Amino acid sequence: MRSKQIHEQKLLLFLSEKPGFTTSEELASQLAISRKTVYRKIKDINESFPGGELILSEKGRGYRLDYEKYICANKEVTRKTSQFTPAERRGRVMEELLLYSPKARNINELYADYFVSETVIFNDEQFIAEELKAYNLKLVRRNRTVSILGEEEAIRKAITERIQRMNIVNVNELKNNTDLNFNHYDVLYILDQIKTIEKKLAITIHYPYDINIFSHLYILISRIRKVGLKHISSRDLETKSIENQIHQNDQGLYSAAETTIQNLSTYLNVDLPHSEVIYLYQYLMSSRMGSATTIATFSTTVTELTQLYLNEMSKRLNITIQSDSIFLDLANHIKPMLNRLRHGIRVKNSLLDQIQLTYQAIYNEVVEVSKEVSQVFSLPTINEDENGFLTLYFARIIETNQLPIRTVIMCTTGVGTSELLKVKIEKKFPELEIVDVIAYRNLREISQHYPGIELIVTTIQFEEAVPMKTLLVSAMFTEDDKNRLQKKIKEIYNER
Amino acid sequence: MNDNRFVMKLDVPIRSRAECFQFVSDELMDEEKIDLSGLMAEREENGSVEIAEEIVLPHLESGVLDKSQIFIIRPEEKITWDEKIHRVKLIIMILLRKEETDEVKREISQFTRKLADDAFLDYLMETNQPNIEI
Repeated sequence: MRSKQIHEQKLLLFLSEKPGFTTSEELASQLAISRKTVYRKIKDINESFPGGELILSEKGRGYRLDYEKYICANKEVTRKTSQFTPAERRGRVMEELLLYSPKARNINELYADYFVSETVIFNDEQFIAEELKAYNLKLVRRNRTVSILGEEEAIRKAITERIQRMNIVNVNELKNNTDLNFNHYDVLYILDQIKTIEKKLAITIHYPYDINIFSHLYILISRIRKVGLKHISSRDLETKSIENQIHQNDQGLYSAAETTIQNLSTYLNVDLPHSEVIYLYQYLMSSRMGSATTIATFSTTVTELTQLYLNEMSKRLNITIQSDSIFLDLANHIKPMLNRLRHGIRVKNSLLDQIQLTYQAIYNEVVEVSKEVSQVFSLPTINEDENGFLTLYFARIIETNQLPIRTVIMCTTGVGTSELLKVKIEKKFPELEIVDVIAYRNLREISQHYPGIELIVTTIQFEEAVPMKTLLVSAMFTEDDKNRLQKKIKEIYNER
Repeated sequence: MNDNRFVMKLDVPIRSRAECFQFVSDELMDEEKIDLSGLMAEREENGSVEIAEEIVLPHLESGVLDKSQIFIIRPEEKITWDEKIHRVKLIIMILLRKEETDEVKREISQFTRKLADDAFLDYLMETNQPNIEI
C-alpha cells in the first residue's frame, strides 16, 4: 500500500517537472517499474481523481500533467485533515505516547477520537512497536494501558523526527496552524526565543534549521509540562569535554544557548540542568547560519572533508571545481553537518524526493562519496537527508559555474595542428566545448559565425583585437600549456 | 581516398629545413617552382610547429597549390629544424589547397587527429613500408 502511494507520488512529481510530454518508456525507467505498471498507475490516478483526468495522454507523444488541476488538488489535500489515514492516526498516537513517556496512557482515552476497533488498535501497536525499535525504545502494554520506555535522548529524537515529518516549511506558519497539536503560547514563546538568538548574534537561522531548533525547544517544553524534568545522561557526560573545546567562533552560540535555557527555566519555573545548554548549543552549531560575515577559517577536519567532497565529485562529474567561493560555501555547510553527525542531530530534507528525481546522477555520486567520507573520517553513516542537501550544492556548481566554455581552436589551415590540439584538449578539459577548429584567415568572422565564443586557443600569434579571451599554445600542448589553459579557464569562470 | 594524398618518404637525404622544403617542392613536380619555404616561414614565425619530441608538423594553405597533399618525411639522419627545434626525426607537412572541398578537409582532419595518438606517431617513426596505413 505504502510503496504504491510512493510510486504514484513520484510519477506525479516527475510529470510535474517535465514541461512537455513524457513517454511511458521514460516513466518506466525513471521509476524502475514496468511499462504495464505505468499504464495501470496512470489509470488508477485518473480514476480516483474527482475532477476528470489529472494525467492527459496523447497517442505517440505520451503523458502530460494537467498542471492546474495538479496544483489545486495538492492544496485540497493539505486542507483536508479532519479524517486521518491509518498512518496519520498511528503517528499521532505515537507522538502522544512519546510526549508522555514514561507515563502510561489508557487505551480508551488514547483512541477516544478515532472510533476504531480493538483489532485496529492491536495492529497499530505492532506498527508503533516496530517503528520504535529504530530508536531503541520499547512499547509496553499493561492491562488497558500503554507506555513507551527508553532513554530520554532517544525519546526526544523520535519526537523530533515525527514533527519533522509534518513538512512544516515556514516557522511563522506555526503561529496560526491549527492542525498540529501544539500549545499556542509555547509556540509563540519559542519563536520569540529564536528571534532573540538571531538578533543577539546578528544572524539568520535558515530553513530547515529553524524548524529543527524550534522542534528541539518545543519538545523540551512539552516534556517538562507533561512528565517533569528528565535528564539526558549521555549529554551530561559530554558537558565537560565540550566546554573545554568551544571554538572561538562558537563562543557566541554557546552564550546564546545559555541565555535561552535560562529564559526557559524562568518560563517553565524549573531549574534546567546544564546538559540542556549543551544540547541546545549542539543544535545551534549544527545549523547553518546566514550572517553578513561568513566564516572563512575552518578546522582541519572541515577543510579536509570539504576538499575530499570537492575532489571526488569533480572527478566523478568530470568537472573542474577550483573556486574559493565554492569551497567556502560548501565548508560553511559541512561544518554544521559534521556537528549534526557527531551529535546525532537529524535535519529532515523535505525536498529529498524531488532532489533524487531531478539530480539522480549527482545524488548517486554523492551517496558514494559520502560512504567514503564516513569511512575515512570515522563518522556515522551520512543519511539520505544530508546527501540530498549536498547534492544541491553540486547541482548548483554545475548549473551556474560550470557551463561549458565555448571555444574555438585556430591554426594556419584549420586542419593541421588545430585538429590535433582539439583531440588533446578534449581529453583533458571537458569544461571546454570545442565548437569548431578554424583557419587563421577566418579569424575575423568568428564572432559572426560562432556567437557566444569565450575563448580562442591558437597556435599562431596574432595582433588583431578580438572580443574574447585568447590563449597561445604550442602544438605540442606541453604541461606549461595545460597549466596556462587551466588558469585561463579559472579566469573565465571568475568573470562570469 | 586519393592515392597521392599521403606521400611517405623514407631515408630522405636532407640535412636542413631548407633542403626539406626543396625536396618537397621538387616532388610536387610543378612547372613553376613553388616557394614553399617562403610560404612556410611566415607561419612558423608565429608559432612553433613541434608537435611531439622529434616531430614537426609544418602546414600551410595556399592558392598556388593544385592539390592538397600530406608529406611524411623521414630524413636519413636527424636534422635541425630551427634554432629551437633540434634532432627532428619526422616531418609531417600538410599542404592545403586554397578553397579545398570539405570532403578533403575532413580527410586531412581525420589524419591530424590521429597524431594525438602516441602509438600512431611511433608507427610513423618506425615503419619501413613506404605505403603507410592511415
